[in-house]
Amino acid sequence: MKKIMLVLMLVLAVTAYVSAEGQQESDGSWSPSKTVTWYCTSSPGGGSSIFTQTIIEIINDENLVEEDIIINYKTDGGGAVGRREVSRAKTNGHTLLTFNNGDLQPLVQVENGELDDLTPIAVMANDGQILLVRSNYKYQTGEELVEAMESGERIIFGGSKGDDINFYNKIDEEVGGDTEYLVNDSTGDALTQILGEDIDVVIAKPAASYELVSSGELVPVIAATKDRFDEPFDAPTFKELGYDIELTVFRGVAAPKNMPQAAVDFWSDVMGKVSETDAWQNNYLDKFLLTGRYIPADEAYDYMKDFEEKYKANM
Amino acid sequence: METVELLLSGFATALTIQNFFAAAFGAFLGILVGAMPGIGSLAGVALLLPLTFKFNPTTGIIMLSALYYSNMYGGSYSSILLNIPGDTPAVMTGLDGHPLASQGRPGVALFTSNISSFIGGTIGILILTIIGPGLARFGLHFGPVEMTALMAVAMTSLGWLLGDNPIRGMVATLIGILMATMGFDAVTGLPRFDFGSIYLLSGIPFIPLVVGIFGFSQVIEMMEKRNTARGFDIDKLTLKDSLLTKAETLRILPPALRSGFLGTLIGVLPGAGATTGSFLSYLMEKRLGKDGHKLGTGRVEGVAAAEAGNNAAAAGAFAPLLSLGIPGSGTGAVLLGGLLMYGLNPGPRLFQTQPEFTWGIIASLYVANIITLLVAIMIVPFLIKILKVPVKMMIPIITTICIMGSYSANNSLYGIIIMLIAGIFGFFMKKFGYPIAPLLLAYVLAPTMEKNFRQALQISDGSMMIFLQKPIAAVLVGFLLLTVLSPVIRWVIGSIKNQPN
Repeated sequence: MKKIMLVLMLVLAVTAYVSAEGQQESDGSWSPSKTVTWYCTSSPGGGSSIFTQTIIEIINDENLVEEDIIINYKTDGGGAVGRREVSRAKTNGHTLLTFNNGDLQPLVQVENGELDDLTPIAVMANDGQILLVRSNYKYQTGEELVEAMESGERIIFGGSKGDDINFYNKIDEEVGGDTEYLVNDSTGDALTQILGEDIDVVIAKPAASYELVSSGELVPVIAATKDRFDEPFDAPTFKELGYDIELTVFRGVAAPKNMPQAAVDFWSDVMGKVSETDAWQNNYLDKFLLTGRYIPADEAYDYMKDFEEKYKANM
Repeated sequence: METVELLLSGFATALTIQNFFAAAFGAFLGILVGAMPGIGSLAGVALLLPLTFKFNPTTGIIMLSALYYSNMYGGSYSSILLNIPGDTPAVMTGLDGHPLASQGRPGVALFTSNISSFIGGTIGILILTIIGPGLARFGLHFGPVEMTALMAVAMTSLGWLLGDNPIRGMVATLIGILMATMGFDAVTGLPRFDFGSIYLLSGIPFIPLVVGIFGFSQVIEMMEKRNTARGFDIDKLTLKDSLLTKAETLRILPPALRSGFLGTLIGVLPGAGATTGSFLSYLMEKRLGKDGHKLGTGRVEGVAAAEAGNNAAAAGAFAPLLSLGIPGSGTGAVLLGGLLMYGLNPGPRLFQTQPEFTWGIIASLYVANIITLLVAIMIVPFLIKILKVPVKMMIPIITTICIMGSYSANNSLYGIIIMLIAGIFGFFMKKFGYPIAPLLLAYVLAPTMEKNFRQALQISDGSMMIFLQKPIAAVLVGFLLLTVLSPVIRWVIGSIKNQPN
């Protein structure tokens, strides 16, 4: 009988854990009253997950939030399911979502959704994409690569979903040539393909490829950003090479559509505090070569809205 | 020699009382969580990861490794005892594990599972210690072309699992493949067969499907036969009866060792993982084992092959994780997150820049593996008592576990609906003699094969010749042709021999 009780207790404990209801305070200010679930719609280990983990780590170290925050990796359906779930969540401020261009674009172009399905909390940083090749690949510079493309040589590109596809389409449009793009679930998978010599060029962000580029295995050739990256990602931009390709990637945080304003303010404020810490500067921005850019909730909406309009126009 | 020294100093840091208890605690929790169907090792590690952050890095990582292992151990328990696989790799364990348990020998099945997990894990870690980085490089040769060929071999091998009635087995396999085509197209990103439902956008979720088709279908079966007694003497469920006999120990060693090696190699391949590891190990046992044809009727060899294979694959997945910074599986990816938090940056430079830390981790993998085995063995006597619970009470308990498991997999009610439908479907499949394992394996393997096949053709610009131009793929395709054609060849040879001169 004891054993059965033990099993039942365990069942109860877990059930209670997954269905715990939060309470909202009535004095206007708000703070979490139960475990916070932070959705990340990309695979663990990739850029989005590093971003999310770093923020949560800082929040814990600085004691900015008393309750636990757990990451829920929802990669199903290219992230569509996770976004939809967050959009509809009624958790009174206990749900957050890692939200980048790579999420906004499919939301608008594939899922028939819009920014208004979510509540932007903050923009935290700007990231950029870069083309990398193996150190033993026949073209080691951007000039050589675009020249080969223009001469019609067959070159296989690879990368992740979302904004990487966007970048590739732009390259295909501006430079042309006989190229192919292999879509992967994560940048990690694409990096495996380039190391295994299955593809020639990989689209990556500095964060996910930092160790491979620092060790010299992969070589940066062309950046999609406005300005060059610092070492070890120093390479010419497409603009420098004379092509009209310039893409910025924002990394931010969003929340369910009808999150109470008090909770939105609370989280926007927490993100602001995170962005001011040394840990954020040293362990994230400097380390992964991002530009810090904190934009609070209300302005973040306008900022992201601009991107949404661009994506709608491109449909 | 330096390697050994560094490893030994790693052991010195890893072996303290505090670390021992942290590992034991981690192992205990990991087994509990791993044993719950639906949570599985990925979610288990992710759930328990934050616990380890309260400790210093060495202790934290030891506890983390113990969690990782014990999750793998625990996954097979519910598969053996209740026929509900705790995670995908455990599907194979259940094929022989559950029949063993139903024959009144659950302890033997659990012991075999624990010990072969340990053997598989140990082989995996040993290989990792000696040639980890080299192995990771080898894994890189398995790009889309090679993976397609490997998956084709795996898919064809499903034929060996089809059972007495191959036609029914084929039908089950094809249903599995059909179901796998639902959801987003892996290459174009466009939704497929979603029937206008947003929930079907990403296809049918796997965990609720497994929990339903194995677990809930069983509940329906139990309701049908609730008044029949169990076929064995429940008083005999003691620890003594659970221990392996000498003959049984000797029987499980060869499959565990063989599968340990195969599993490690498979674990290293990108995107293959523990499921493919346990699946191919089981199939290898079926082909190479002395009594291979008896597998599936409750043989310890089957449990040993599946468990050693999946644990070795889990260890093998560490090779690309540590030496390239690329996680080989979902669970590996969560671990990568954990390691990053401790200030460890897995990548090509890891062994040069942070040797002490890295060898410390490898040492803690050994320590964690041993402690997990001890905890797992101590738990066996309690676990086998589950079978003493009367059927009448098992019905509500398993139902609760099924509902909880399918809900917690994706935290949504939709999971429960899928579980119920899958349960009813599974009940009728069993009733009419359709095997379930081929359906699930086809469901797991088909998306990997489809994605790799299409990527391979993208690379070759549509030419099928690419499968013969790459050496590894060509060997695999050769093997495939041999398997497919061998009955024909045998028949031709046979008919020539029998021809009267």
